[in-house]
Amino acid sequence: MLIEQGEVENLGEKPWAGIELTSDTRIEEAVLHIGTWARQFLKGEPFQLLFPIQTRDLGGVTMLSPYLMARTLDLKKLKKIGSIRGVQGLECDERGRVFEIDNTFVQQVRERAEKAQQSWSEGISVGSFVRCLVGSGRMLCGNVEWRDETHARVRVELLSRDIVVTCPIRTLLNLGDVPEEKRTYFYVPGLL
Amino acid sequence: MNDTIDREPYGNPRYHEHISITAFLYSPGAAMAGNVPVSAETKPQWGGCEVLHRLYSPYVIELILLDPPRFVSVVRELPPFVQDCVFQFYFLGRLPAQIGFLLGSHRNFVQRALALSEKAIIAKACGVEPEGIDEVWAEMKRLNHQRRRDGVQLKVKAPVSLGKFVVKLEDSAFPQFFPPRELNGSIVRAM
Repeated sequence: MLIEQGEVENLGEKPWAGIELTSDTRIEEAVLHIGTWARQFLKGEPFQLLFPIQTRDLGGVTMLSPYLMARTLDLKKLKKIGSIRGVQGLECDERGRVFEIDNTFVQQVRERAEKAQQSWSEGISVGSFVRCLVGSGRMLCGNVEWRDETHARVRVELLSRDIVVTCPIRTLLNLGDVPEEKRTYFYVPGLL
Repeated sequence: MNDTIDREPYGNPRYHEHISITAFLYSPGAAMAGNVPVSAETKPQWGGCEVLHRLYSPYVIELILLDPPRFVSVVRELPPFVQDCVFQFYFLGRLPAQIGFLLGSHRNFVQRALALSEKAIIAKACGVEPEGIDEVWAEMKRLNHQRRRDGVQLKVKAPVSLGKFVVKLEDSAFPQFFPPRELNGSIVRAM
């Protein structure tokens, strides 16, 4: 996931900085806070944050790299990011200078992250058992009733009513391996 | 079950000790083999989930961890509306407001259903009939009937931008990429 703000074309080949997080369990919380911080303090200045997600499920996300990567016109401005809850700070040397990460490397990570995101929904067809990963139907499981190139319609059979969620296919996780008898809307891998 | 256990177990070593002992008494082999997640330390995704621990009943969590199929079979005896609240809350980490939106009910009713379900689940799991349990069942049935009957099917459409890899901070759908947040800003994580 690449989070952007402002005219990012102006960033060109500018280097990136690594953002270290305090805990693997607070990744999403930290990213959300960084987004809010960037809107508030960078005030429309070009900003990019690479959140390289490998997997996403009930337990949260796992990342492709140990760090988040971010850049703006002046990397020093990102130093204040350390005040955000869940963020340890920028990767710096012993003199406090920000380690610069080459844009070419980050673009490679970005490509891998994009492929990983696409792989979650690979093989989804009508009748597939899937989990909605984001949005108001978040984490609910159901069966695909219809799909086209980009969107799918998922029927979630709660006990008191049915929910029909129309969403982009990329927001679904294919749970095709789950045995038929375990296919409930509250499916929890490893627990049930 | 020990009534003296703190209801806010996060960071409370007594709670983890209690869970560990219970797991051992229930199944010594499983507990020693480490197959049963017995504390926040052995279940990493619980780390930092203060909100989860504040909202969740430690007794219900204990039952889920020790015997998930039994928990499901006990919950299956509750009214459908209450079942939907319990499964979404404990298994999927959804907040009462989110659950209420899908079920056509106010979040206060969902919270009430969760509070009542705790008593009913404990009573069923322990095979006891504590004083006042009849009122609990009666109120759960009332909650099951109070929700809006605006059709048995709800249609929800997710924003197109949720399917994209590049997301603009200005996009109003941006927060929907992340788990719901409690009032103090913490993100609630599913079990």
